[in-house]
Amino acid sequence: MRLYEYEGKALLARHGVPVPRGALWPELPEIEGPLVVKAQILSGKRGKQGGIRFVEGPEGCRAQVEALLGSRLGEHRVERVYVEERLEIDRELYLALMVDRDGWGTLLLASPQGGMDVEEVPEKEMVRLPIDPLLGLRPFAIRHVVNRLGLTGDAARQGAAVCQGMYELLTTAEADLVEVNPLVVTRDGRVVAADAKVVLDDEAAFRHPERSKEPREGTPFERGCAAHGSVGVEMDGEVAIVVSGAGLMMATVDLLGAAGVRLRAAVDLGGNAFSNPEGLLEVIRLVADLKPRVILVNAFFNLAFCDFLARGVADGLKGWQNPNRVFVRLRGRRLEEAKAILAPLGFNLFEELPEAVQAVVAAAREVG
Amino acid sequence: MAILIDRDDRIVIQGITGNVGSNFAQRLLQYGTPVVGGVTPGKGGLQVHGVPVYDSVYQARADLGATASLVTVPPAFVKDAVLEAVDAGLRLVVVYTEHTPVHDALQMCRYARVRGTVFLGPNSAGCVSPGRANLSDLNDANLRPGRVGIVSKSGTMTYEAIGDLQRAGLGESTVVCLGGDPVVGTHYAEVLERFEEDPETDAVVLLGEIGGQAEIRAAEVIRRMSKPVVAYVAGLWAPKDKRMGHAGAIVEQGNDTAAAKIDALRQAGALVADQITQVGELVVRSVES
Repeated sequence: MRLYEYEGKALLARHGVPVPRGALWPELPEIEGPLVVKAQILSGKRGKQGGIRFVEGPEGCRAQVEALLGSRLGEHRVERVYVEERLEIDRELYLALMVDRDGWGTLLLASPQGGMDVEEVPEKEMVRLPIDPLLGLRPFAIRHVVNRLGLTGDAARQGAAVCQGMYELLTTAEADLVEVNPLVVTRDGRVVAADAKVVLDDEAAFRHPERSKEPREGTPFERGCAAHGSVGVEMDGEVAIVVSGAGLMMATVDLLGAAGVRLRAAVDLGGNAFSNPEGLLEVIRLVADLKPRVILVNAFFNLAFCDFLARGVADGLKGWQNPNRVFVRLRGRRLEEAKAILAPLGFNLFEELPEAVQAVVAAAREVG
Repeated sequence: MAILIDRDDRIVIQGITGNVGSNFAQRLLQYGTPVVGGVTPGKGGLQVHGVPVYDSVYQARADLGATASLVTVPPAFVKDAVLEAVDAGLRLVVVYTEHTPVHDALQMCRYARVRGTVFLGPNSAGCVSPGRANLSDLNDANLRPGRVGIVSKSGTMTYEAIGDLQRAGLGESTVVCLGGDPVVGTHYAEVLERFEEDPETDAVVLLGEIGGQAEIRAAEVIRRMSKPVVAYVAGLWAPKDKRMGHAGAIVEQGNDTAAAKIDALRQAGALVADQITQVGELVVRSVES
């Protein structure tokens, strides 16, 4: 789950990383003097889109907040605005920690040049330090990073504390990413996180009961599928596919995509395909609500039972207008029982994937 | 000798008293996989499908000579279960459980590597050498012993590929599912090296997908391999910025797209199938030539 800047900063502060004093509108930080008014959206490019406004004092905030609230920045609608102290900046640095999926560890990225898009940071300036999760972030690693950031004296001590706090946040709050860009050295010598991008690991949510379980991203259909334990991806074509697992779902998307079929949705049923009748029924209903012109259900089971899935499909598509445009490809145990459930509904049944795909392609051409 | 698991292994199921673990025990025993016991803390002394349950992997190893473990415990307990199995000195640990937190996965993977334990998963459908030992959720009835090795992240894509091989009259030497999570213990490259050394494998099928660099690194091994590799990478038609079912199946950097992986694999000499349904046909062609 991606956090808004103000949420990320609250986490940083909790782990000892200094952040500017700020408050979420309609509250204001108790500061006289220059402020920054920042649109809170789940995207990094808001500066260039006018999502960050400077004002000379609290009295200037309202006009800027009202201009931002409800406006659109790219694909995002601004629903929250954060107001914080404006820093007097001496230097802008870059510092990030992320899960390195291919390296079995954490990757620390640091650059003495920050503030711009990370892609624009010159590669030779960028420190890439793999952190072994069994060792954690050791003092020698921190010394190296602080050194390469060009921090000396008291700033070096503050920089070390920032590294430590960010690593602690990453591992104890269980984040995939903690990125501070820029990490600012102020004219009065403070090291402060001027921005925060934090992505939390959804799988760890059970250890953090205070966190909202409400999915933030995705369409209502996608959020609905997630709430019922499946993965749904919504698109804008004609054909919906409902598949027994992730790998086969992607393979089915490829088969239809290459044949020129445009998809309305793709669903990986996950455990709902064989163990959760309510979840299965809800997800099939969500698919039906999208009103796809053609539906393909594709399951190749090794252990699970075909008739379980068939029952969910039959119930979820009860009274479906065009049963001749529903295609069900099933392989696995209790196949005959599944056929006995589905055949009377007028659905097209298949065992082999190529034949099922061919039939779906033909049906999609008819409606498209 | 099959590459990861064989009939002389002694397998324990961690979480054997739970639903998933107990079902595994019953099915694996039925087809002759050497499951010798199970581990559930607090349930030591019970029997499940005729095999003894222990409180700890240490004890199961001491009493039964356990060499491998299948972990089916809930996500919150996976890390401790795996660290224990590795610490007890098991040779192979497979985590079937899905939804393990990523920082837990990092620690498990690293500890397994430090201790030299082969670690598959989390979220792995397991590994199987048909007719010898099955440490997977693949149904023995769908498998047949043969000379094609399969390495895949996904279970369901593997089922389809096995079905396709069967249509082409081919069977499998060993099937290895790495797991659909972003952080998994073993990557394609290591399994390919084992298949290359395996006298019982003539050709290898690699089933990849979008996300991460593992397929790109596999290409570096394929370049040096003498055996033919047939590859399929899922997700060429996947919409951008969407997580395609697996937690790990998402394009994040641009060099982790299906197109980039297909390119790398093809340049390394792999035969790349456009679709999962062409895998069998390409394997036949690769073995003939």
